[in-house]
Amino acid sequence: MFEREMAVEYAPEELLRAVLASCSDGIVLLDADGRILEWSAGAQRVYGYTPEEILGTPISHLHPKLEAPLEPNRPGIPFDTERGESTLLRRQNGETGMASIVICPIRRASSLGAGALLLVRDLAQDKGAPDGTAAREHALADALRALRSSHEELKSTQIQLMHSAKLESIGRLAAGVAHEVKNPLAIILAGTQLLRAYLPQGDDVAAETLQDVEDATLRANQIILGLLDFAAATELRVERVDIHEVITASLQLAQHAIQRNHVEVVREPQATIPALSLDRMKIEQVLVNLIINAVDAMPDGGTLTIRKSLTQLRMRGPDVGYRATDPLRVGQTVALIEIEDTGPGIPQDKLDRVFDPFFTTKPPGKGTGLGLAMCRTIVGLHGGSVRLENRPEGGARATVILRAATTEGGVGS
Amino acid sequence: MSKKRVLLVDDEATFTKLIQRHLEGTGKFEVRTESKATRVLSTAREFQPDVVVLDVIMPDQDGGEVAAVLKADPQLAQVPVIFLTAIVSKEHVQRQGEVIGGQTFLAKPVSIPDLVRHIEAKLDKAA
Repeated sequence: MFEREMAVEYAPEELLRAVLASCSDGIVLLDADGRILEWSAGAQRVYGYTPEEILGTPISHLHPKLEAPLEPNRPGIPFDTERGESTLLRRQNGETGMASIVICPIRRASSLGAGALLLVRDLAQDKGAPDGTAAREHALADALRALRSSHEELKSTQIQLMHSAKLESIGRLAAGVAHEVKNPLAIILAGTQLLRAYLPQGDDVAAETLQDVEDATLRANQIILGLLDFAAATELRVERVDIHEVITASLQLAQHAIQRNHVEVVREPQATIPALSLDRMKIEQVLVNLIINAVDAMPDGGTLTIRKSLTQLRMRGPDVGYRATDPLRVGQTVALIEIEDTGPGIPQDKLDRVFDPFFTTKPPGKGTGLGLAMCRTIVGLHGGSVRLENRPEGGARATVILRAATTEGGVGS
Repeated sequence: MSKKRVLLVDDEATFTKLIQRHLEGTGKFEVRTESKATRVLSTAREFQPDVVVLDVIMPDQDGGEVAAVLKADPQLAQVPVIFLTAIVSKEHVQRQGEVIGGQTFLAKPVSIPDLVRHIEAKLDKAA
């Protein structure tokens, strides 16, 4: 009955006008770029601007401290749910106040990003709270939120500091250990090589034993070298680098292992990636490590796929967030280098630990457990991120995420 | 052909003894060992080596300083030096090769054939 009466009384457009004119709270319609498209009488009361003065102005002019940008089409900003917050508002007469706003994304033809609807309540005018108590409460809530946010940042900075202090002490320890251990290793190696010269012809048992001692010595030396490399991964020599060339060089360095395990390498054709600012040698070290890991996971052959792409981070995730202290930020353009294998994958319970120093899933003597730890340190120094996951179709995927600047000319294929 | 004289300097006496046996076993070299960095100058003046193999990290004096002392001596200034060092990472070797600042650096533990190859290369160059 009611519906029928309404249908008789109002055409759809009239109904909209009536709502805009009679609601005491402000109603503001934004276009996809966050500019004001429609302005209700309530909005005029709250802010003081007439429609003629304000239409076409960005909403940020009225709310300079909104938590997240309001432009729904801003790349990488998820804008699919209604949200509300209390925030500062700027009035036409230059005064500031507090407003509670609800922001609703507008759907058009079932797709998002068409704009947003803002419902604004002027907290200083809130009838339910005389003498501006609500405004003060909201200001307090705001201060608390800011405090929480800086506490989070402080915690994150502290963790980073602890991490770099740990690295520094590992560096000192590594140099000391290297010197103290390499000298005895040098004696063992010189000794076995000398004894070999004195071996009577045909003494296979002695020859094999000497070989075993020598192999074990070289293995111990590999661990020391890994430790030194891990410790050396604390400073970068950054230059503009074509990542395509770095991938080619890394594959070249891993060629021996690739051939040994009869692994087929597939380089997927990808979009152009601009020159990246990075330490070529260190990123090469990272890629070689990841390639060797992938190859080691396929002792009986398989396929190693390397893919590079340029993308924009769209979601929060490990090392990706909105804060200044996050290594990568939502909306940032990044280069992805993915290395996939067709091996058995990594046991789920070990995935969390693979980046820990001295943790390895390889058989004794095959890995030092420092490779992935070093990869994470090096990529972290570049302000990037490295991830390892199991692919749904089987095998593992390592992804290196590096910051990319899109303003410069592209290189590579 | 006269044997070439090699002065081995390292505070690890066991190491120099083993290397000495190797080198002398080839029949090409006459070797003197020295485990005290501060005595290198006097030993070298007396022995007149054709090449010096010098450990970098020694307790009494740094290998680099010892090399500078030898360089300052008119009779020894031209004698080539090969440095042995325990603290060198794979990355260092990749970045700079075995020659840093015109000097040869070999990483411990050194393989004997490698050491012989470098000693002979230095001697060929000096000849």
